[in-house]
Amino acid sequence: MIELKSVSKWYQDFQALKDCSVTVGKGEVVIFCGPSGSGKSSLIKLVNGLEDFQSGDILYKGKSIRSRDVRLPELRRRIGMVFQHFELFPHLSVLGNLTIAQQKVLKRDAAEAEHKAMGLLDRVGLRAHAGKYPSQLSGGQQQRVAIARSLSMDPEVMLFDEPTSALDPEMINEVLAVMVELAQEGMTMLCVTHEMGFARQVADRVVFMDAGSIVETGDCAAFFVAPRSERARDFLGKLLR
Amino acid sequence: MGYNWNWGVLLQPVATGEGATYIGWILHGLMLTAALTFSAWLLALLVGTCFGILRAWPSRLCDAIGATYVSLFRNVPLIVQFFIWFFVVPEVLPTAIGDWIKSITPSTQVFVVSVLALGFFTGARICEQVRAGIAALPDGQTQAAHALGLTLPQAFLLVRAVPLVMLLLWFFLIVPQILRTVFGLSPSVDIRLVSAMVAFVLLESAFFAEIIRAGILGLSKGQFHAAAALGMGRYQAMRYIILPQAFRAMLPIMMTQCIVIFQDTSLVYVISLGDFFRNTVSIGERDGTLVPMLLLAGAVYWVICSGLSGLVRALQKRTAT
Repeated sequence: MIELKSVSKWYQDFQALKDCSVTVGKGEVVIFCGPSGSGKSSLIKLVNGLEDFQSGDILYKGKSIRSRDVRLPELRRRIGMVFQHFELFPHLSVLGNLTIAQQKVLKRDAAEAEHKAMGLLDRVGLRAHAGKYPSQLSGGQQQRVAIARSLSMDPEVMLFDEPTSALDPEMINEVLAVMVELAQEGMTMLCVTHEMGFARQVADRVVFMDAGSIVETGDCAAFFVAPRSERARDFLGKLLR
Repeated sequence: MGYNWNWGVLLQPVATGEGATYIGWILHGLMLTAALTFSAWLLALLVGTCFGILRAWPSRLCDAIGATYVSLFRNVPLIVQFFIWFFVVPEVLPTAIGDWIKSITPSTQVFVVSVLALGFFTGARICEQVRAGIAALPDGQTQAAHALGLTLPQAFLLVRAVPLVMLLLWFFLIVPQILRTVFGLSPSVDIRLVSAMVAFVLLESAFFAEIIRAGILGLSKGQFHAAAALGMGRYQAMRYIILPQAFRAMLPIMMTQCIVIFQDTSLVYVISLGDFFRNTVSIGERDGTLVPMLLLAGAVYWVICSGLSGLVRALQKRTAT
C-alpha cells in the first residue's frame, strides 16, 4: 500500500534520511523506533507530504506521491495523522474539532458530520465531553480526541508520531487501548513509538532506525527476542533498564 | 517658580465669539481625535491583515510585496508620511483627481490625509503582527514567556501612555527648564538635544519590548500540520484554523496598537489639523501658558491611554486561559 524507495532527505548540508526503503502492506502495523534524532518522525511525515525529500520516491497505492496529478490535500485526507502534541484546534470545541474537516473538506452536511463525530467519541469513550474545549481535557483525553478527529475522515492509513510520549504515564494506556483496537480492526498503521508492550501486542514488523538510516527491519517477535544489529541490542537494553 | 498658572482661561468664552468656551473648543478637538483614531485603526487593520497574510504566504513574490510595504511604511517617519500624503500625493495623481482633491474643503482633506497616513503607517506594524501571529500560535509558549519574566515594566507603560510629540515637547521645553533651575546651569549650555534623544530612546525601547515579546510567543508548525493532515488546503487551513486563533491571540496587541494611534494622532499638529493637542497648544501659545496647557494635554492623554491599557491587560488575562 505504501512503498518508500531509497528516500533521502537533507537539511542544507545535514543528511536527515539516508536511502530509506520500507514497504507497508494493507492492514499491516509497522512500528518505527530508534534513538531520538534518528529520523523516524521525518520518515513517516514524508508519507503525507508534511516533510519533503530530495531523492528516492514514495508510492501510495502504486502511484508516486510526487506525480503531477496527485494533489497533496487529496492524499492527506485519506491518510490520518496523530501528533505527539495532539494539535487539537484550541478555538473549537471537541465536537468542532471532529466536524470541521468533515464539513469543509469532505463537504458533509452538519447533521451527518455530527452523527459521525458522536459515534467516534463514543468509541473513544468521550461522548460526554463533546461540548468541552481541548484545554479542559487531560492529555490522554486530548489524544483520544485527536485520534477520533483523524478517524472522522475515514482514513485508509493512520500515521502516529510518538502519540504517547507527551503523556503522563497513567494516561498512556487509555490511548494505547484505542490504538490496539484500531489495529485489531485491520487499520493500516505506521507508528513511531517506544511503547514496546504495544509493539509486541499488535505490530507485524519493526523498523529500527539510527542516524537517518534504517538499521534493521524485522518480524516483531524476532526483533525483540534477538535483534540482529549491535545498535538495536544496545537501544533495547537501554529501554528495558 | 513664579509661573502664571492661568487655568481660568478654560472657562472663558472664545475670542472669535459664538458663545463657546475654550474648554468646549478643546473637547471638540478631542472628538476629532477619537474619530481619527477609529478610522485610522480600521484602515490599518484591513491593510495590515492583507499584507500580513501575504508575508506569511509560502510564495517569495507575495512575501516580497508584503516586505516592501512594511519597509516603506514603517521606516519612514509618520510625520514625513503626513507631508507626503498631504502635499505630494495630490500632485502626483492624474490632474483630474488632483484637482478634485484640492476642491474638497480643507478640513475634510486634512482629515482624509490623516486617516490615510496613520492607517498605512500603523498597517505596516499590524502586518508584522499578523505575520508573527500566524507563524506563532502560542499556548505553552505564553506560559514559557511568562516563566521568563516577560512582563512590561510599569515604567514603559507610563512612557507609552504619553504621545511622542508631547514627550518631545516636554523634554525640549520643560525638562531643560527644570534642570537649569535645579542645577543652576547657565542658559548657554544646550541640553535640549540630549533630552530629545532620551525621549526617543525611552519610547522606542517601549515598542521594542512589545515586539520581542510577540516574537517569543510562538513558533509552532503543529497547527498547520494538523490542518494539512486533515486534507485542508492552504486557504481552508488559513480561514478555519489559523486566522481565528491568530486573531484571538493578537487581540490585545491590536488594542495596544489602537492606543498607539491615539497617541500618534497628535502628530497631525504639524499640518494644522485642530485636534485636541493642537487646540490645547494654541491656547497656551496665545496666552503664554504653554507649560500648563501641555501638562493638561499630557494628563488627558495619560488618563485615556492608561485606562485603555488596563482594558488590554484585562483582555490578555482572559485570552490567556
